[in-house]
Amino acid sequence: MMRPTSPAAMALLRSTVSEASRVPLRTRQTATPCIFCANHKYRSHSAPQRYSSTSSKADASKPHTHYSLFPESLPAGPPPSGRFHVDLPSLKKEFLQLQAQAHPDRHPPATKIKAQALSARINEAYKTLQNPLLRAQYLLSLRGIDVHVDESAKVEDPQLLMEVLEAREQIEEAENEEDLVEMKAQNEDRIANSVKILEEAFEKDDVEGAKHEAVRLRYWINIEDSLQNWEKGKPVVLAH
Amino acid sequence: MLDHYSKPRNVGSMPKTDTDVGTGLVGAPACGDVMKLQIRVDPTNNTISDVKFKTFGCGSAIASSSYMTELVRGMTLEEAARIRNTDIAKELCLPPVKLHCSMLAEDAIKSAISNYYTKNPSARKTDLGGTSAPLPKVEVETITEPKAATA
Repeated sequence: MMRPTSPAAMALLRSTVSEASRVPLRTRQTATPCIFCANHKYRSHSAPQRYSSTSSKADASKPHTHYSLFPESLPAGPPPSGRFHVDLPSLKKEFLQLQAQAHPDRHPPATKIKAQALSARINEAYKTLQNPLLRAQYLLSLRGIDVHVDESAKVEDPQLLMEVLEAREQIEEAENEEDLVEMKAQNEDRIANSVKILEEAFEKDDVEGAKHEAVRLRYWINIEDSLQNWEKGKPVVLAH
Repeated sequence: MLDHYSKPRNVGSMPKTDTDVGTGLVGAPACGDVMKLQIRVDPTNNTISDVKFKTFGCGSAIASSSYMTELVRGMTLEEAARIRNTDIAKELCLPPVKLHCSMLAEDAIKSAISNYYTKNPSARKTDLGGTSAPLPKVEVETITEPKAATA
């Protein structure tokens, strides 16, 4: 049997989801793209006031983060109070517990919509927190730095670009899967090293250092994708 | 213009140690793209005689650099330095989210020109040849000078 999540955690979840529903729809990644329409169909005249309220800017500065959804595995919250490192097994365990309770099929029609939104919110938070790159980008975005959306930013690191170019040319010249083995190992080292540097930077609250390293990690992850999707003679085109 | 996506032109490399080759290497941190653009310059008239690129990124970044290589071939360095990313974006009909790809191509050619001037400081001087043609004003000069001084 699955251990039930504490009532306090569920109360927190409920409050978080009602906030989430006030966030403009396009910024959220919900499983059901139009929960507002669905909501109107379900209860056309009850018109709950929380749906009629327009999103306010104050919501953006809410202290609730992805971390507050996981009070058991991430009690200390985001760094610098908590660590950058996340214990993945315990995060996954808590995620499954939360998701089991929030699953829309377990809720009566009246609360189904809310459960769907909560479920989507838990998914999004889990997806972000379990991945070091997404986690780093998310933590930076909490500090007002959006590395992954700043279109005009440039890489001010010629060394990095040289290394990336060489790694990419190596992949391009690979003849067979065996050629990739060493490259994969080397790239895993790069990723591990970047994650370590990110960990230190976030714990020292060195936002600039974290930003710099998050860019490097972005490149290593792209290389990892290319290594994994490698096929002989297939040109390297990234999808993003 | 889809052609530049499916059949990119001038893909490849030139020996970057050649003195008449300028290499530009730039990257977009948002998406993790890297773009290398190289120009071979004819020192007698400062025009771009050959150009190659290598881009590891999305389709738009590849198309932008491919189009850029077609555009700058035969241009003088001054003309090439004047190309704006909007020229590329317009020609390739890039959607707004892909504008950074054309910016990357603009940065790449500027960086290649700057690299060429760093290798060939005399190329900028106005004492080349004895022609009566007006000698070009170089836009990138102010940018490259500190680099050349510290190199």
